[in-house]
Amino acid sequence: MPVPDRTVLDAQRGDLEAMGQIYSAYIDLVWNISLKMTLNRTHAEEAASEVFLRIFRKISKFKFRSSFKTWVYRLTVNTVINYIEKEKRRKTWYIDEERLEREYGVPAAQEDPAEKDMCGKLLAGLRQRERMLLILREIEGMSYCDIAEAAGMSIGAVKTGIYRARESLRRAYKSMEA
Amino acid sequence: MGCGKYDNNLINLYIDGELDGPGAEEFCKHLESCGVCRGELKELESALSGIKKAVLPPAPENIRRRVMEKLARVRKTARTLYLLVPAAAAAAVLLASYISLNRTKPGHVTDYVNTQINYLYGESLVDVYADDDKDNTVIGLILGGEDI
Ligand SMILES: [Zn+2]
Repeated sequence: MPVPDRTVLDAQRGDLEAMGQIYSAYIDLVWNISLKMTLNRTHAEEAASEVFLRIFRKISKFKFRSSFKTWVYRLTVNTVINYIEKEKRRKTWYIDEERLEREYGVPAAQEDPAEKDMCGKLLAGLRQRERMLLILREIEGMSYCDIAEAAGMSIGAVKTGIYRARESLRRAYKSMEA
Repeated sequence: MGCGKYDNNLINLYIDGELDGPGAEEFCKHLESCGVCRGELKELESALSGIKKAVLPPAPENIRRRVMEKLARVRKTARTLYLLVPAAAAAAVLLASYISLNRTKPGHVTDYVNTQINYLYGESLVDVYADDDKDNTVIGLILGGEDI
């Protein structure tokens, strides 16, 4: 559900209530990307907080040239990738395999247990850039054009990146099946 | 990758629904007779549905709290600063002129006051206004990102 321009304008003027509405509208998107990129709940919480603080820090610079949602995607992509890079430099970066299983597992009663943690494991087997591209394309269902804008890449580079990422994913899947 | 006749680029176009009419028809016909392409397509489709399937836990409420509290705090500090900074600046000027009139080490006190003002600016306004983001670096990060 996109937020009305009015709300964005109010937030630009520092209206906390408008910021709260923007938070509610985009938390699922930001949380999804944060969790699927970091594959770690604690990191995802920190990354998602950083995303929103950055959104509100920069919101006055949003000029309504793109859709607000695309702009949110762009900041999310940037911030989460920067967050991971920063954590890796601080050497606090890790993907906890056991927690991955617990936190990604769909409720056991609901699904085949064999498929429980497949998503987390498949994503964990990808390189960071591949993971981001596949999250945007396959999970968020974005067009190549929107991904190009969100990731600051050319459409050609996005396509090539996604094709390669799919091939890595297919191989990861194949080795899990084996 | 691929059977030799078709490579994975075509499978990707097929998955994205981007093959044109005759191309799609030809590829579908090929799929019927080629086990390699059929296998790879099936693997890819299963893998893709694998990453789409997971039900994620909802975002914890403490993210909202953390963000909104910080915003409220920053806004409060910023408001105080609007009142405080001009007052501090005026005080600095007064102090400096007073001290220089008395010819006693004017540098130290003005430096001190200026440091305080800069500190106030830096500490609080950095949260609201600082443009420390190099958005373009995402290209480099995505393209050159290290493996995890
Ligand atoms: Zn074939």
